Amino acid sequence: MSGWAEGFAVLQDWSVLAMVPIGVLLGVSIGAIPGLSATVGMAMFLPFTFTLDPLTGLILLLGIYNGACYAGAIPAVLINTPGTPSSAATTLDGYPMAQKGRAGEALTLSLLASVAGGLIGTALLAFFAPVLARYALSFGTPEYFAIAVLALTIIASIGGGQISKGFVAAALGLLIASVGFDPVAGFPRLSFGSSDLSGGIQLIPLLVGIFGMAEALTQLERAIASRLDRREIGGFGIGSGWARRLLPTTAGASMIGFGTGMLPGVGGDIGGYIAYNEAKRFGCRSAKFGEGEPRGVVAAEAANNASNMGSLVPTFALGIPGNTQAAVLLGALLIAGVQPGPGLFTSAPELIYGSFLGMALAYVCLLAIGLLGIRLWIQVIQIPSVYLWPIVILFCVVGAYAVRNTTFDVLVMMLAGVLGYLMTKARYPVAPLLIAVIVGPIAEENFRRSMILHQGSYEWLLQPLTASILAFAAASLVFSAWRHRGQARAERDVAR
Amino acid sequence: MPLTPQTGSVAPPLLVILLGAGAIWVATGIRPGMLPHDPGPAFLPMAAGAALVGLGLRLLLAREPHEGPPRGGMLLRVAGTIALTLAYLTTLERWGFPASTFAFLTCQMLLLGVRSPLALATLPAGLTALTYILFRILLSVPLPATRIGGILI
Repeated sequence: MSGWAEGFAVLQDWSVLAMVPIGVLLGVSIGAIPGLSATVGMAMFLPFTFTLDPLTGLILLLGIYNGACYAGAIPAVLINTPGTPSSAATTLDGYPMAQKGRAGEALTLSLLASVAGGLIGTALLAFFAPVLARYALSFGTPEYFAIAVLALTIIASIGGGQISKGFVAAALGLLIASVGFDPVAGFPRLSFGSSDLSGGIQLIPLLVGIFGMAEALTQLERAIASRLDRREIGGFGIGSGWARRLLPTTAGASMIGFGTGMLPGVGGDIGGYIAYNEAKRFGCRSAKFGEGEPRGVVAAEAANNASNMGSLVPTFALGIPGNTQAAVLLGALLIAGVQPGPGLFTSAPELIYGSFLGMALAYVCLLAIGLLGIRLWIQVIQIPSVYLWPIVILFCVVGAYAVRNTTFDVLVMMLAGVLGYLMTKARYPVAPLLIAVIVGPIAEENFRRSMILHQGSYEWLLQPLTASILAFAAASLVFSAWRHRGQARAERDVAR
Repeated sequence: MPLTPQTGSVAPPLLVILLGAGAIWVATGIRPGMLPHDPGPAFLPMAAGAALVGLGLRLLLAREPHEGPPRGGMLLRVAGTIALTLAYLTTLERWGFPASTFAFLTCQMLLLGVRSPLALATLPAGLTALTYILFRILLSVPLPATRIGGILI
């Protein structure tokens, strides 16, 4: 039976199918609230996938991911605040549309563009991931080491702010990953004689703390006054000619978004901005970007949804997370006892192809839920923060406790939350820390095994593919340093 | 002493350097690997520690100004939330999920400025019941039990 047939077969189980609308509903509710990003939502619900089989849990998380990515556009259009970082570019034309009384139209366009971008992205993911996985089956330990270094380098260097701070976060993640038994010899390290630490720091409490708890602490600092302007929202209809006018922008932005998403660390926000700029560059003369141009909304939304699908290519094919949301998905697979990587395409095709089909279904579901509930999601923005964030903390505590039924994990979650909060205050990105926790052991194991296999010689680093990947990692580092230096110079010039 | 912008920008890199130095010191005590040519279990913590020291020194010299620590009401909300969550963590297994969750939510809402007696009475109770049903009954998450009126829930 082919992978697709196996995927179809498992999706006929109602308990798996039911997770599609549940995930999308949760995701839309989460994404519509400024501050509750897709990552926070996925981190909050990740521990509860424990009780589900791997595919069911994965589909729930993918539904949340897709739903939240779309819903981030709702506050972006209505209150000029992106609900999720990936919707940042949507504010550029979405909010001006709302100011002109065309908010309803902008919301419908963002929904249709999200669904189109997501479906195009899913199709491209289903095409590229198996190809890359087939190629990756021939990879040995040197190549895996190089890929892990590449993922770590790119994510740390484009994490925003100073590159050094991104690398501090990554080094901190490597240190956390060192706690417990080492992956080659099985010796305990950094556990200080504690039985709780000898098993290592559990990924889920760390993840829930660093995203959920830290975000709650950050948001509680200030009471969010996300008041919805009571101006006219306008009709939700967009007219019949939209498809002809906006289809080329949707298709082009989806391709750009998917391509940028495949690069580790390049999130939907960057994909959205790139596609927006391209739409602006190639747009017709009558288009008024930045003043409420529908093409701007469509380009940003189609690109960020396609970009999220692009980030899943290295996740599924190599077992290396393309962004933080993909890292949460990898966490879900790891806690379910599934080892992500190219081998999954042959050992568990139902999981991979079932996920592809589940993602496509989630977007179809999103279309229905989005169109039917659009007026309700507008109200979600107005949930007072004094009620919202205690609930988020409650979910974080229960989620951390649910993993092993021990308060030690809740303590880890709590400490990770404080660490994440302090890092945010000091402008250290947290994403490299999480990626390093996941990728660090892969890099360490493959480096040490390569050294053992090559009898202490470093010649394996010069193998063509390994050397090329490492050279690409070094080039990305140099490029980021050059870009940051240019930005700093420009900021200094502006200050003068 | 309140943090000035200068000490505020020095403190994080100093912490990074101390953490890195500590990691290197602890890693020197890890026993070496048994396999020939294996860099050993100490390799990763040693490398991470060295990176932290080097990067910390780099940031110390750069002294980038950053957002100051929270003050006044902001500090009270953050510190209070951390203290309440720690209290929740310690009471979770002693009092059980329903009682400790109700107490946590009530105190947290009070901390955030909710003063309506009706909201303080109904919202924590409703949310506790809802999360109990969701996690304990629907998702079968084994949560610590509370004895209410001789019944263990």
